[in-house]
Amino acid sequence: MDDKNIIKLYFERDEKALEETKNKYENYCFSIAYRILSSKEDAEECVNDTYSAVWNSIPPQNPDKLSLFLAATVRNISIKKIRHDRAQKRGGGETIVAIDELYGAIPSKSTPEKEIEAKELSVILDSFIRSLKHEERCFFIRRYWYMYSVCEIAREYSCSESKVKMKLKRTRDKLCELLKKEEINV
Amino acid sequence: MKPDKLIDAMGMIGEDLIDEENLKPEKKKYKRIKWTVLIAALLSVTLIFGMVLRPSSKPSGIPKRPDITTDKAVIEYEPEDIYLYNGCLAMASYPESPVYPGIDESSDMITADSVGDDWFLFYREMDSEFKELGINIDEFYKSTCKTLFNKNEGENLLYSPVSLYMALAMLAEVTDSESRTQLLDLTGAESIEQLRTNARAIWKACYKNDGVSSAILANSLWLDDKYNYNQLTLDTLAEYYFASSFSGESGSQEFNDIFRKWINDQTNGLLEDSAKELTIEPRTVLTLASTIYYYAQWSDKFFPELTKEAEFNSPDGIIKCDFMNSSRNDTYFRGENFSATKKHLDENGTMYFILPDEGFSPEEILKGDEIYSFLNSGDLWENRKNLTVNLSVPKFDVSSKTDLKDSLKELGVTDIFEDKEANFANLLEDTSGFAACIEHSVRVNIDEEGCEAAAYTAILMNGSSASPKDEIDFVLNRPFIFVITSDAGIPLYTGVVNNP
Repeated sequence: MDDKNIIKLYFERDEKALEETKNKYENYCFSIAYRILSSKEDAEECVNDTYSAVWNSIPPQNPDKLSLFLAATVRNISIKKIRHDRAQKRGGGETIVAIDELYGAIPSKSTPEKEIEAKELSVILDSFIRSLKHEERCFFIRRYWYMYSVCEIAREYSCSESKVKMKLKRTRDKLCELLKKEEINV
Repeated sequence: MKPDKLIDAMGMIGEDLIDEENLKPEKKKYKRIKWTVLIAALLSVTLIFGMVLRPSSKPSGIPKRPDITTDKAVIEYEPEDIYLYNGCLAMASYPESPVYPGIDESSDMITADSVGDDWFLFYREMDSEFKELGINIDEFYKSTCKTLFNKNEGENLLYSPVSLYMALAMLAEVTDSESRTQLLDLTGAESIEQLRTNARAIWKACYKNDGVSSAILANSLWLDDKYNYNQLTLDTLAEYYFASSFSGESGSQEFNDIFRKWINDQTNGLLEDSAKELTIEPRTVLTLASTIYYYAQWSDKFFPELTKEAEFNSPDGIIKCDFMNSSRNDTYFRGENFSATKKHLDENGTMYFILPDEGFSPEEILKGDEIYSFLNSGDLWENRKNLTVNLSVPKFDVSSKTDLKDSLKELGVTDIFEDKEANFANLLEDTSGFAACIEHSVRVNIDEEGCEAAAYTAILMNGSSASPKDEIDFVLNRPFIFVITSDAGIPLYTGVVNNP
């Protein structure tokens, strides 16, 4: 079934929408969650939570692309889960490494800064990411959105891990400069 | 302060940004090399194919295999398959380069630039000998270019001076008497001791292998195992020329396979098609191979969005090709019947683009002296001006394969090719032979990826010796010359592009 018809089922509150979503996107959602959580059980739990969240979101939301809507939802749920686990000092693996890397892009507090909300920050980030060159953009999104390991990125883009690390470092530096320039307190 | 907000904000970026369709790797020409921004990939192979036996000098008695268990010049090497091959007689040991500042191979995170000092000191040491000795291969470069390009008419022709220099220097090491003298004369060395010191210094000054860019001169000797060889010579070749030596049964499948594997390994597979045709024939006593594999990124990138299809006036007529465009403050040079500009490669040398004036061919420019004076001037060429250079360069992927035998004969290296005159006594203990051919293969490609479009109109200098005021459109839309030099100014590649 195509996405348009699946979304139609959600609007009709037909539970077949969930079945069709599972048939079509279960593996996709699981791979995103598993990459973030590194645990089969946790990933399955988050994928199930994703179906509930999507059921509650559509309507009123009417996504253009169901796959991307699911991806964003499962990522957010998985990140929340890992954040909770980190607070409990368990698990994390690659995702924590990626999160810590991104921490480095936050400027040190040397000037008065504006406190902004995540939503506002996402607008700045969105525009920043769009300004990157294709490869830098891919590496950045693979690493900090999909939480790929450096090794996985290098394999996907057929390049050395050194290159991936170097590109990511430069991109984070650029982001840090931008946040500094905008005097943003994250 | 926590990055959670940043991670949350990442989760709210536009959906199109995370769409798998938009995250696909961009298509590249080659499987094994994916370049970041600009990319220049260049490589060359110089093969001195075979000292073919004189029919009258076949050894009598039972030929001996060299003793590979005693006095084996094992210096150390990466434990790759090829070096575990039984017939490895001497192994070169490459220096271990620190990674480019900012990269920490042992960690998933890039944490500091503290390795920068190591990197800087390492490469400063690597080219110190070259600088201290004041080595100059300008005459060799000039005479070989003039002879080689003189034979070219309207074709793409590429030449790696440094690769040929190393191959000839190794050849000098294995020869004796007049055969050696002729090679010393051409390479401009007073003695074999000076030549080997120079070769080592040049090898080190060219070497770059830091995870970001690469320039590796790799040398090897392939010896028929039916004969005895002077192990001391092989050890000298390993020590001064970073050359590994292998022996095996000439003409056998196994020996040819390992030989081709070595070529492919050293050239990162880019000459795989040519390598398939390489064969060590049964009568071949010795094969010398010198390769240089090089890649680097432009310091100042071309943006793919500026790349635009345009016409190139090749000798065979007008052809369409993609032109990369950039506009930046740079140096514009003016010489007799040519103009030139340059583009730096990230920590790995410089590429010069030389455009003959209308009515002059690249080959004509390379016949003259001025281009060499210009290239040797180290950017201090008198007739130069800093201005905005709107550079337009066709993307190209060109290759050429040449037998240099006739050119070398013209340059005075004759004895090694003559049955009765050739003297390889410094390597071959109980037999002799002569060089059958010297094959020089080079392939160069430059590429880019990037953003936004601009069209440039060709404004040609038409032989005017006056420099422009503030801005110049430098459009390589007709046959041109390129030269790539190392950081130390050593000419790595020179090419004429008649048909990009």
